[in-house]
Amino acid sequence: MNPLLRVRDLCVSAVGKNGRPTPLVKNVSFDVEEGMCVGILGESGSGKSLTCRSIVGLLGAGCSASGEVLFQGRNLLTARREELRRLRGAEISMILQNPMTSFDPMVTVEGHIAETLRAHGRTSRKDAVKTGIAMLEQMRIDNAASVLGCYPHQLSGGMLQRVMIGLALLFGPKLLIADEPTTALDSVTRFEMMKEIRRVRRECACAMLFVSHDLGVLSSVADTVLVMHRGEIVEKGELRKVFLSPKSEHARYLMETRSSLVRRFRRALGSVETADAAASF
Amino acid sequence: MKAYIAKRILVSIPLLFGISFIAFVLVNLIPVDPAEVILRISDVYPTEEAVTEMREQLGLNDPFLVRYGKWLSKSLRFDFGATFTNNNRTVAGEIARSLPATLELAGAALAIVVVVSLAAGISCALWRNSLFDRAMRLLVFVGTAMPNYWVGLLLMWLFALKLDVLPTSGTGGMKHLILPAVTLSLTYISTYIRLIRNNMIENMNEEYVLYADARGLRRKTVIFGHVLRNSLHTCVTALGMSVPQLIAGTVVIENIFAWPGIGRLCISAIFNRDYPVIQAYILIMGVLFIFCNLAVDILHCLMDPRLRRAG
Amino acid sequence: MMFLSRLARDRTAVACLAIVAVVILAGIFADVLPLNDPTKVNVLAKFRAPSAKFPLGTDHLGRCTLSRLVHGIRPTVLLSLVTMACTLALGTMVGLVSGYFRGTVDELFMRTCDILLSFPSQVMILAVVGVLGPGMMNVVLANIVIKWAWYARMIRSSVIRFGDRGYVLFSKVSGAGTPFILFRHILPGVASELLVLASLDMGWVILNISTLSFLGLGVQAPAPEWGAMLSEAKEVMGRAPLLMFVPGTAIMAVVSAFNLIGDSVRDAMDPKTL
Repeated sequence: MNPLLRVRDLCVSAVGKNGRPTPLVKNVSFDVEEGMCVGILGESGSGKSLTCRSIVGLLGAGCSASGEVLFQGRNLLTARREELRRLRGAEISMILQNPMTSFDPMVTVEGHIAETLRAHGRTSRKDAVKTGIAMLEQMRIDNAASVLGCYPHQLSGGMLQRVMIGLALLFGPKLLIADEPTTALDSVTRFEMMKEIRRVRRECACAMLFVSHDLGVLSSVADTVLVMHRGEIVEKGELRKVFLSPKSEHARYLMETRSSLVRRFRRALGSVETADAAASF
Repeated sequence: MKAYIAKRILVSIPLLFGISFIAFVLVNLIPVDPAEVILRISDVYPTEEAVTEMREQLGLNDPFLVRYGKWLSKSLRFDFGATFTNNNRTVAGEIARSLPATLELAGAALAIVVVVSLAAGISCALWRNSLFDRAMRLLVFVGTAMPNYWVGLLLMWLFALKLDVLPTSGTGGMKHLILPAVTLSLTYISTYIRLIRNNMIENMNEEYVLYADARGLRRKTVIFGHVLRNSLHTCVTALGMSVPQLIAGTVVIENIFAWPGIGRLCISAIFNRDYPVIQAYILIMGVLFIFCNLAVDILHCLMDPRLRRAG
Repeated sequence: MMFLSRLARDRTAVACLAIVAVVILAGIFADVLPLNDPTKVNVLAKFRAPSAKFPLGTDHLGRCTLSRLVHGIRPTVLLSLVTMACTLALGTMVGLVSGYFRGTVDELFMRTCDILLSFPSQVMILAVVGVLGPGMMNVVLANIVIKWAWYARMIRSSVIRFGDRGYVLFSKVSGAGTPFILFRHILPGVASELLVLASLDMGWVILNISTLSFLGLGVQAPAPEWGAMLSEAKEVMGRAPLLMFVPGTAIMAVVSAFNLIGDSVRDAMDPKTL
């Protein structure tokens, strides 16, 4: 069976001021099967966001991509701009890292929903309001009607992130690209957010490309993991295999750093437990 | 928001007092004795007794603050007294006569500035680094280095003398308005084109543009619905501030094109040592400036939903 | 200073600095250069076209345009530099004192600046000249009196930022005297920002002074000055347009040079363009 998304030898380079191109992503290849979640793990600057953006054609000026990105058989790198635009938001949706700055401060939530619907052919205002309320309620947001009329600065980061997920699911996308959606959230909100995302996966059965630098977050949602370092994939495989027996040096380094932190955390918790036990005597 | 507006108005009051105080102080620093001047222009020989009597009559021997208070209350009633050059003409009258002409000129120039700088600024931002953008940037650079009166003279030479399509001076209809209005606007167009262009480019790099693209919005919707809307906010504020600058800038333009506005009035007053007129000019320009600032602040607040609700 | 070496590599900046240097030197040594007498009236020679004797022609009173141009450098460019220097000196002193000592002194100075900055400087300068009367010195004085506030403001915020730096606190703790700290630590720190502000503003000062002279409020005839020359040229535009082109182009060239220098200085100081 053909994978939903097939990336082969994707290279992204930026043209600097002196005219020479600098390679930022080198020969990235991976597959995303239908309904599966592929996690991309790496630190800042490893090229994970660029990879995602190049898939949907959102590279900025001065960057260019080469290689092959086949989505349901169509090569997205050679597709026309209008074709890509129609895919975005409908078949391939994105949720971004910082919800506070991703929404236009001058436009209400209803405005954002309405324009997204309009961009894909649904122009009725009543339809927008109805769809908006249904979407917000589905994302477990209370007072949906009043939230519709709110401006972004009036809502919390967690709530805006929910709206963002809701917007991404409006047209039942086949692929959902999440670019570090929990990085800007505090740990409690992050936990809630990951619960939401897991629920979304169950209910919508869409494939996901989940980018993060947090192993904990990835471990709760990804099936397979790609580890990226300096623009290249250094390790690829099933989640448990990569986490428990990493083969590449960089992946091993990441796992070891993380597990040593976890050990200290457990030890700290453990000492509290023994103290409690002692006190109860 | 109402609280913000009220606060801004309250803050403006001491500023208004400040400008009136400065206007009053400045003119009182001059060595010329107003009593003597009034006697002279009434064709009365200023003997010592006559001068002393006139000073009493004018209340010039009262303490400073009393004089200031009296002057201020008279000014609020637009009673600035008679001009130094002609006892039959009041300062208020002179200003009333010339202000409409200046407002007409400034208004026309403002219209040109708004239309041209918005069009050029937006185009430059949309087609960044294109030939058009680079040509505009060169024009803007040269434009800010050229003295505006020189541009006026060049335009006058080209259109009025060489091509003979427009008149060189005076008022009387659209034809007379074109050259002065265009000259006045050119000074500010350069600044605003650059401002609008940079502001739009800044906004185009904002994250909400990326997100809008990610949702599949059309390019047109993104530019006009989001970028421009956010840019207008800053642009309106900036353009609003140009109003008092334009009115102040009419001074030179009126001089070249013999336009009968308050700028020309002020210059001739300076040459004639007509201090009441100068005083009134400073006061009016200062008050206008403060009001424009206030109006722009309020508009700025109304246009941004973040400020509107926070108040 | 690293910034000087960066500036030296910017060819535009070097070229502009050279042009400005030539202009300034020409102005200073105008009297010794082999030029015609700028004030010598010879009505028979009026409106001559450019020739060997009068390289840029003559004006309506038969005076040599080139000579008047070069002698006009003094009031237009040199006096602008002097104005700028005095404004900077006054503004820096107020800014330093205000920003370093804070308290009531700071409040007093800043309220004054607020009021001065609340109004369009053009109007205020006109007002001051109006009160003092026409004359070059009054124009310079008016400019200084109005513009110092802006610099004082900028310097003050710079000083406040610098005051928290480690080496300043260390100096204070080790008992260094106030003038020492002010001049040896803080002043060099704010000097770079000062330089950027000054070079970007220089063009405005030149335009402002020439505008006032154009209106007849600056130099008094027959002294040559570029703005005043344009005023005279206005009357005889039809007969001798060259008289209008020459001083205007000169002003534009010098102001452009200063603007380019200002931009280059700002870029050289900006760590982001490394």
